[in-house]
Amino acid sequence: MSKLNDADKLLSWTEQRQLSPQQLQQARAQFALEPATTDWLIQANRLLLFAGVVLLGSALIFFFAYNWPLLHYLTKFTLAGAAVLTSGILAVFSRQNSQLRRAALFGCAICSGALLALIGQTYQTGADIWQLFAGWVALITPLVLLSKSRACYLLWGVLLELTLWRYLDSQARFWLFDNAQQLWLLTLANLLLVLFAEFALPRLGVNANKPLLWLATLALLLPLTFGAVTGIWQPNYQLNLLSYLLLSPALALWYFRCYRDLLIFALLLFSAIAVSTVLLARLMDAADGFFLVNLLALYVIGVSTGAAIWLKRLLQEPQHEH
Amino acid sequence: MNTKPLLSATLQQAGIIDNAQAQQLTAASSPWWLQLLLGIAAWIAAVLIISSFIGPLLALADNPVVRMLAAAGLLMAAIWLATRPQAFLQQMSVAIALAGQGLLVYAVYELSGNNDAIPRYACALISSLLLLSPLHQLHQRVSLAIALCCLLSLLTSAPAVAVISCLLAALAVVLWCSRVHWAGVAFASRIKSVLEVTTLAALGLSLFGQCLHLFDSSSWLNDKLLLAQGLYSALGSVLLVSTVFWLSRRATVPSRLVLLSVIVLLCIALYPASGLLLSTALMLACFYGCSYRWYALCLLCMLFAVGQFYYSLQLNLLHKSGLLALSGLLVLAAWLLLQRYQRRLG
Repeated sequence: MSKLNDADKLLSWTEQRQLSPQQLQQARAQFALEPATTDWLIQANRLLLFAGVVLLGSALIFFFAYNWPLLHYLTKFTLAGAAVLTSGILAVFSRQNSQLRRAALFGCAICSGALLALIGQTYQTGADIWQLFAGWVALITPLVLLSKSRACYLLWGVLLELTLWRYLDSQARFWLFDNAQQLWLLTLANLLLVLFAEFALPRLGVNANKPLLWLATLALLLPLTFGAVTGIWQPNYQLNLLSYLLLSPALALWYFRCYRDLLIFALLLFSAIAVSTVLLARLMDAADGFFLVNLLALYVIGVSTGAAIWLKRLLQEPQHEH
Repeated sequence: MNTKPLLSATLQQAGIIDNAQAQQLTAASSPWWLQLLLGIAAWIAAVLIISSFIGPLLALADNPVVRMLAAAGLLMAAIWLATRPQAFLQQMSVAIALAGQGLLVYAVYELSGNNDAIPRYACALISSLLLLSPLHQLHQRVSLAIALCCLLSLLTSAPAVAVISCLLAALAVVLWCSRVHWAGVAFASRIKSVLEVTTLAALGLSLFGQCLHLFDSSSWLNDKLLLAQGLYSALGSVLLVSTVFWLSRRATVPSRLVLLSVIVLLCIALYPASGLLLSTALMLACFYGCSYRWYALCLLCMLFAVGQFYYSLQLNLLHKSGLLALSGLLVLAAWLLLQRYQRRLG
């Protein structure tokens, strides 16, 4: 794969005139610019197996979908239960920390949700959708802990977010963000998720936790920034603004000084640009509209360019050259 | 993992590039997330500037000539910004150029007496002409995509849509397969933009073609949907077989025969799933063209095509299930044959 990535980069550089055609010809002596027979064989092996499983799996789903209305509800439960059980047994008998085990546990987590939905649909429990998600999260937590897999934790995190969003949405008047307290609760829950991704995941055996951490931070920064921006204009969102003013410098300090992560730092920086632009607009509220809009545009251009130059410099520092 | 510094260091060691060029290659690219954040900020700044200048101008002088002049001004400003080295200004040039194009097309719409076909041709023409300007590659792609959408929206014949979709897919396959040959030509970056837009359009249209009945619920296409679906499947099969035939040109005759037989059988079994056939051909071409990103997108499109096949109305689910099971068994048989072949080689 890295050989093909190198070829892609060489071709891209030549297309962008960063390398001359002569240099590309010279590089051709060292780098293959098209896949070799071994690359094709490796890829064909993966693809054929994957396609075979997908096609047969789809055929099975289509078959049951065709016969679904004719099946008795106990047969439906048996089918869903059998899927949970099969993936569970596969996970038990596969090697610890193997890819097969992770895949089986992931499949088991997905099938558990399908089983829960089927129970809800058959008995018309009248439960809210957030209760289904909450039940699903609780049910798969032991599986996720066992799996030590990023995909399982991602599913778990997404379900938690959905539970929270659906719960808060069911309490809202118009939409989720129209209440300062709800927004604050969402921020707090996402902060806990960030802390979990940062400190607990490595201790639970998930080593490559960065992508999960980035997603959790993004999920935190969205309500946090929105709350701060609204807090500049509306007094009832001032607790959100205060949380932003306390939390974002602390996070920036942590991800810049103590545990450098430039992606999170960049997110915090651009979030600060958004909040400061709105603050500037608030301070200059009485100014002429034409002057104000252009001033804001110039401010955004200036600070964003400055931030980009700074970030690029930081990226070129030796510890960031992977 | 970023392998760019490693690759440029290898090129430098081999004496292909000098130190300055190696540093330039490493520094030229920003990570995707920085580009995204810069893009968002640049678009907000561009919208603020455009609304503050163009809004009052249009409010004061509401006629097409003023709009055309304002559009020309915006396009010139965008071209000037595109020549600046800063990534932020380049992103701003994209937003300003698109605003200029939009304003120009709107002026043409007003001048044509509110005829809605002429602005679509005008949009395609303007986008094609701007391809020759030094505008940013992102602008070229967005602009080409808009032009293609405008031209496709003029079609009201289902068979014509089918033929054009397959021609676009064939063009994408040819361009991916000949990437090494055109990478060095002077306008290669423009060809790359055309290639990426064509591939995206071909993938989208292949999925569209697989569910024509579903998409045409308001009957905006003429009534030859069955002919169109037949054309999609037949041309898709021809494209897939031709792609495999060309890609396997260096294989031995027996293995090539086996490969082609498997592909022909797959084309027969999956004949109603035209989206799957076309995206498979594109996926193979992208792999040959060394682009993993496009290869992954084609793979995703194939998965989507399988999911979408569930909703195609011309066959019942049991029939579709049988076809998928047959093709799955065929693919697994091919995998077993490949394993045997590799054991014999190894």
